[in-house]
Amino acid sequence: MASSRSAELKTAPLLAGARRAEPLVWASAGAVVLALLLLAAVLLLLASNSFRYFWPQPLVYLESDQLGPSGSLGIVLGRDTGRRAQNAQLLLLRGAEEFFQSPIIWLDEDRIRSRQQPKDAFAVERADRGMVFGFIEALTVIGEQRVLSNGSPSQVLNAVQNAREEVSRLSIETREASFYSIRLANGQLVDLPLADVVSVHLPNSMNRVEKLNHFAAGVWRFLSEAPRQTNVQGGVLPAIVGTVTLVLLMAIIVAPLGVLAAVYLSEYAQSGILTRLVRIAVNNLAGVPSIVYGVFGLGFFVYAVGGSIDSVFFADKLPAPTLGTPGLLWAALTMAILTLPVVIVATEEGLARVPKNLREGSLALGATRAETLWRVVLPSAAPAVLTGLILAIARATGEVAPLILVGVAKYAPGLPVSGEFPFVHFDRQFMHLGFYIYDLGFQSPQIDTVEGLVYATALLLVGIVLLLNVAAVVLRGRLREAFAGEEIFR
Amino acid sequence: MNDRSATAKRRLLLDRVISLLVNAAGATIILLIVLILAYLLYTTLPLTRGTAIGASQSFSHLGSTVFARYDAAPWTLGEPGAEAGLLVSSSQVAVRLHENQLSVFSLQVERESLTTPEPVPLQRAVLLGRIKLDGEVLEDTLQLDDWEETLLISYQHPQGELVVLKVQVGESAAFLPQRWRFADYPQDSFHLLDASRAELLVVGGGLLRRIELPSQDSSSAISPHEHSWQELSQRHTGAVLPVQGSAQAVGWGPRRDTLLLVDKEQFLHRFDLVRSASIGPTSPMPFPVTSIGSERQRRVSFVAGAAGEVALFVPSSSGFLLQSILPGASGGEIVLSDDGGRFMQSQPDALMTWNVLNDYPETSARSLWAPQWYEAAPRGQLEWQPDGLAIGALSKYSLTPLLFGTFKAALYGMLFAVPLAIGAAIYTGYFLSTRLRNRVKPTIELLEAFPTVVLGFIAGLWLAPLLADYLLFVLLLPLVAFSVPLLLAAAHFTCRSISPRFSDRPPRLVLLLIAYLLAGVVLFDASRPLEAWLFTDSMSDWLWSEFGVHYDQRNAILIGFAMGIAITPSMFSILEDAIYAVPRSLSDGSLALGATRWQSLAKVVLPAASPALLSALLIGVARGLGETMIVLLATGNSPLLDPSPFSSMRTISATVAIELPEASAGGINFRLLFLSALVLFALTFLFNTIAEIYRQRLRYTYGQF
Amino acid sequence: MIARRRFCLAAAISGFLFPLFADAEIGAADHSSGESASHNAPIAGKLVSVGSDTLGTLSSRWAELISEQHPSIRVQVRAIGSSAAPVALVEGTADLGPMSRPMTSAETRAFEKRYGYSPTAITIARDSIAVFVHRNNPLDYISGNSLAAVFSNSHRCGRTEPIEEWGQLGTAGPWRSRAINVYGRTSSSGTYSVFRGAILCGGEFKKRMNRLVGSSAIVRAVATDRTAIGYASSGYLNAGVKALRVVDTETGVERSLFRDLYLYINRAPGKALAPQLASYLKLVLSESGQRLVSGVGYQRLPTEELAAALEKLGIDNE
Repeated sequence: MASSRSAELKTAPLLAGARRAEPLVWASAGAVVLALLLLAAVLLLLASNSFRYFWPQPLVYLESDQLGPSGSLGIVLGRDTGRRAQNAQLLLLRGAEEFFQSPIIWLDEDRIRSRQQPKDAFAVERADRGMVFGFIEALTVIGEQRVLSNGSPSQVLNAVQNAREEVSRLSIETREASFYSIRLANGQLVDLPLADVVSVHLPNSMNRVEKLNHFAAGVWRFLSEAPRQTNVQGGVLPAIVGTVTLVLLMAIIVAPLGVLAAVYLSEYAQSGILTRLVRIAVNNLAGVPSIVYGVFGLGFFVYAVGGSIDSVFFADKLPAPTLGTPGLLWAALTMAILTLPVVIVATEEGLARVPKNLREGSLALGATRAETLWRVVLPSAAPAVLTGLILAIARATGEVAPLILVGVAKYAPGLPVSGEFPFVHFDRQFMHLGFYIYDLGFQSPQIDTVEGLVYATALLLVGIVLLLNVAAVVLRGRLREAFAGEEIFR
Repeated sequence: MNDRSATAKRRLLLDRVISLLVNAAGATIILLIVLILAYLLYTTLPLTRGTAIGASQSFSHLGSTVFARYDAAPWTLGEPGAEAGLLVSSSQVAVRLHENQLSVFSLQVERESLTTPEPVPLQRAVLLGRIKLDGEVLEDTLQLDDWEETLLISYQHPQGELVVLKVQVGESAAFLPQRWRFADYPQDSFHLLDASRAELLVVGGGLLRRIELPSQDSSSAISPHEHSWQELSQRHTGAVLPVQGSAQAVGWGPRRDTLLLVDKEQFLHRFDLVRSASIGPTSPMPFPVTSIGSERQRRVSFVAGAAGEVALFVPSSSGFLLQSILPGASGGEIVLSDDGGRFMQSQPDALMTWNVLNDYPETSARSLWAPQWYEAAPRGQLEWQPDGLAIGALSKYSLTPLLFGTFKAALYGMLFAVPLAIGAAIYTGYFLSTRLRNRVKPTIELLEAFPTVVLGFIAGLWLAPLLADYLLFVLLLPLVAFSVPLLLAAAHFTCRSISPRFSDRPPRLVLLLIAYLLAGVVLFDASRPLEAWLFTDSMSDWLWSEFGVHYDQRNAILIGFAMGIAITPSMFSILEDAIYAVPRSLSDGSLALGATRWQSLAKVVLPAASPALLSALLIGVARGLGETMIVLLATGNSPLLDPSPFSSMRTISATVAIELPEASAGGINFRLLFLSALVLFALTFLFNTIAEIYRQRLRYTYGQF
Repeated sequence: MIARRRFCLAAAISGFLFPLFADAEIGAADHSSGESASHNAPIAGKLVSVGSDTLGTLSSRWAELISEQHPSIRVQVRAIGSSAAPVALVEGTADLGPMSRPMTSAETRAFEKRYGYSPTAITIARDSIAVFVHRNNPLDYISGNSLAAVFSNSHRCGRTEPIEEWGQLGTAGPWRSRAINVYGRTSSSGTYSVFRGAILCGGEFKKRMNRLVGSSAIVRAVATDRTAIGYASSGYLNAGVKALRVVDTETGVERSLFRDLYLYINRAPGKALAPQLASYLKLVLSESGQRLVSGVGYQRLPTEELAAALEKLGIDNE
């Protein structure tokens, strides 16, 4: 063997040299780098786009032949570099959708005459109909005009913010008479209600601290508010609550069954046909596509089980369904089956790591099997159970396909958890972060203006799932370390 | 003492209970998978239910009873003296001819007053109006047809003249019929009325005449629209049609898209009214046919003979669904109702109906997978168009394009994932130090944490337009991915042969990271000018103008990329575990014998881990087959049979996600979607089980060391 | 330490049993709330809306509005596609079925078979379907027949050559030899059905057509694909795309593709509507409800039509 190899070395020194250079080792290292780059690239893409959404963007005043004599004020959302046959174009968000044909506009770069960032340009976020960009000139609070003509932009800003606070304390009827006059880029002066203002700022004259404040406030509103205007504005709180309720309910269902099944496989099963069948079943449950679970959930849980429950217990409410419609309970059950193998595999791995001598010691002292399990084995394997649950939750958080079939809604204002009895509403449909991305990205009108929101939601979802996964990795590592020394005795 | 034994009993009982619970949990797992399989089967199996003739029913005929041809419901005409004269009915209208006067009745329930679920026997028809005729009528030539609010009536005068009347029977019907006369109507012809298109089809003398009835009442402006059989038969690419005017029975094909004709030799011919051509091969009928026709909503046709023989078949497919003889049928014409629910026959003293149990006619094993001869197409087709019912068109159910798309998506994903996963697993599991490996491995596995909806969103909305703009760059990427490490290896080799000071173990990952980033930036900047220079404008346009290759924005490359990210981590994980688990002593031995590190990996470690390689590949494919959100959001969902990397696809999983929420429970589409879910389940079950067997073999191999 | 772990485990296992009890309690709660709703003044209840994606935005807006006016009415909106509405109404999984096309006779019959009466259709808005191309596309108008040949190979509106290239539509320069990429909705959509009926004369869409899951996904795809053509409700158009004028092939007159948008409900004859349903409908047909219609880019209904609809439903309009 060795001699033939050395002969090879003599006959083909170049080849041998190439071998020593280990090109394939380099190539395989390349695969590692590429995989890590992919991870980083996706995260970076999500993070940078979300950041842009929350960070105050400069307001640009553009004059172009395309727009006629007046200019346009807005945020540059993107750029199309164009082909040879066509020039580069800018995508400008100019807001105020009720006054312009479209809140976004594409401008040819070579027809832009001038470009500036006016210090006194305001960006007003409204509860209804998106952003407005312009120059605030006057303020009327309950019919009383407050002249602002001499004030500096920051004074105007303060006045508007104070007035907004004042107005928000008023009753709905008196709010009507309070408005601000803002001059749009096309020269039009319009009066808009103050009660509608969510936030107002001067992006071009903000310093870092102010921008950071604005950023933090934006992130907070995103996390703590309900969506407005068909999900295109506001926050994602109901989606967060819906997702969390779903996965918690699922964890409650999946934990006992998963742990018991793992105990069966690791502690009770004799090696026989049944045990092999269970193993095959677990492996296949793990491999079945999630959409198949959705199909099963819709057909079996919603139509068959839910329909029968309705016809027995809620017959008086028919044809309006109670449980015979996609909802929280069925989604949680479907997700529980989906994540069952995750819990089983992780728990079993943990149980296998519990040293045998611990069990034998307990049994030798006269404890029954159940007592050994309950007091010795399971407590030692608890981190593994927790790991399994965390992984299951991570899996369920990111899974959307079955939910499309068994219970997620585009818009569901009633949270599935509330102060009303019975606190968790199993029959309700719910919003879900993953579905929110799908809905917002593919079905909301004016996708260009909500893209940032989609990225932010995606980042939030990825962040949650990543954190859960990292937690599971750390926990698992701890478990391994805990019993690392004892493995010798097995 | 007593107390202690009680405690002991309780402990034993608890032990038993726990033991029972644990065993029950084990059994539950098996039950769950059996339940899923059983439920999918239970929902799917009715698709194989055969066609049969059910109970027959007879309504005594008092001369004033008639069928609505829509659903074969019997109606009685609510006017005295209605027994006299001739009664003819169409879908939802009946006409009585008596003393040169036509009375028109509606056989339709008024929607607002409908309160009982099932129509009561013998509902009363409502008189809509009367039409005076201008001459004597040959009674057995009276025909009618209705569509929504249009009613066409035709009859012949004893002199041979054919008259066609068109009446609007809506709420504000003025009942002023438009009339057309055909003086030279050939005597041995068949004609069919089509109220939905306001057309008259005449078959005879070797010609199919398609005559549009103009909507104005200028009855002179008739534009006959002629085709000769000769002409039609010459356009046909298959067998020549032996039809020289020897038609024995003529009727509509499903939804009146085709014309069915049985010749004197009992061969069936189909004529496509959209393309004006004949379709597919002809086939023989099992008995002398006296009447032929079809359902309105489904692809089901029937033929009937004089002695009560009936046969049902799907014209686009071959073979018969049913051949039977109706018990108690007499000599009259046997007709299938428009909704396909019943056969009906008007006998001298009674109206007879026979229920037809035919819920899923279009889903034979063959029609789901093999090409079908549909109308409006020159050759057999594999099509998935299940949405017909919703818009009143015919559906096409072939699962082949879906299965093709499913595999296409998975395989393009594998093209991306396999080199990445194998390479990364080898380097992490064999070449990296344990300390570094314990960091790198979980990091790569974090790729799994990306929810597929996020990957689908990024691929569909962000990457798809970018891919079209930087097509050349993307196509060059694999080349870069391979050539950069090779170039670095060459550089390293050169450096080392110049000076031995260079390390034997360079910081590969860092060097590669820098090199990749540099290469990426350079290539990205250069690719647009390069593309413009090579292909005059853009590569996608060049593909089309030079090769006729369609470049879809949402194509297989895009899917390969997104799917690759989703598949890679699970494959990587299995492989890496296997490689890492191969005992070091094995490769150390080979290294000691003078093998290079790569040689000992390739010749010793990899063979030991090879079952895991296969297992990883199978699990990767299984994962790709079932992936839903990526394909739902990033493909064009077009059911193509095109392996090109630049074209789109439609997968089973995406189809289920799109169509199941709108499929009515128990309907054909619902069950077909369950069937496709079952196919998906079976495929992944197969792949996972094989993978598991190989993995167990791997465990066995390691057991030896 | 071990004791604490055991407590966790016990909590987890008792949690498993909890849903069973909670389920029973919900039943009781729902019964009582159902009764009290009919007695007390504030109207409460749950409404599930399943149907059109085109109407998804509008339905959600109405849902937002009604929860402002009646905080205890909760409306859940699932916007899948118009074909989902009749299914959900027949299965009883929805109270409201927004549809962007009328029900077909088969769908109506399925409903009648189940309940013995017809579903009630309420016209709630009007919409126009737009055909559009990339904003830099030189094409301005297209004839109905060419449009059919671009989207379909069925030739149901008369035989034409299949159109695959922009040059066949009369564009010059580099556009002449560019392929046409066709975008449309998935089959569940009412827009899909209406377009198929009106433009393709019932023919089938080309197999190659990209069937995307949302109207805005189509607008987005066309805005980023230079060689694309697509159709969607005109409410979704933005500056990234250019709407084409569709002209009649023979007369050259501009065609507009209008359609009514409907809300289907299950209303038994002679029975009063559930109070929450009645107040939802009243809101939809009110001035403020119709203002939202024009807000999302559709055309609102004339006042007399609204009044007639309310009267037909037996809702007093004060």
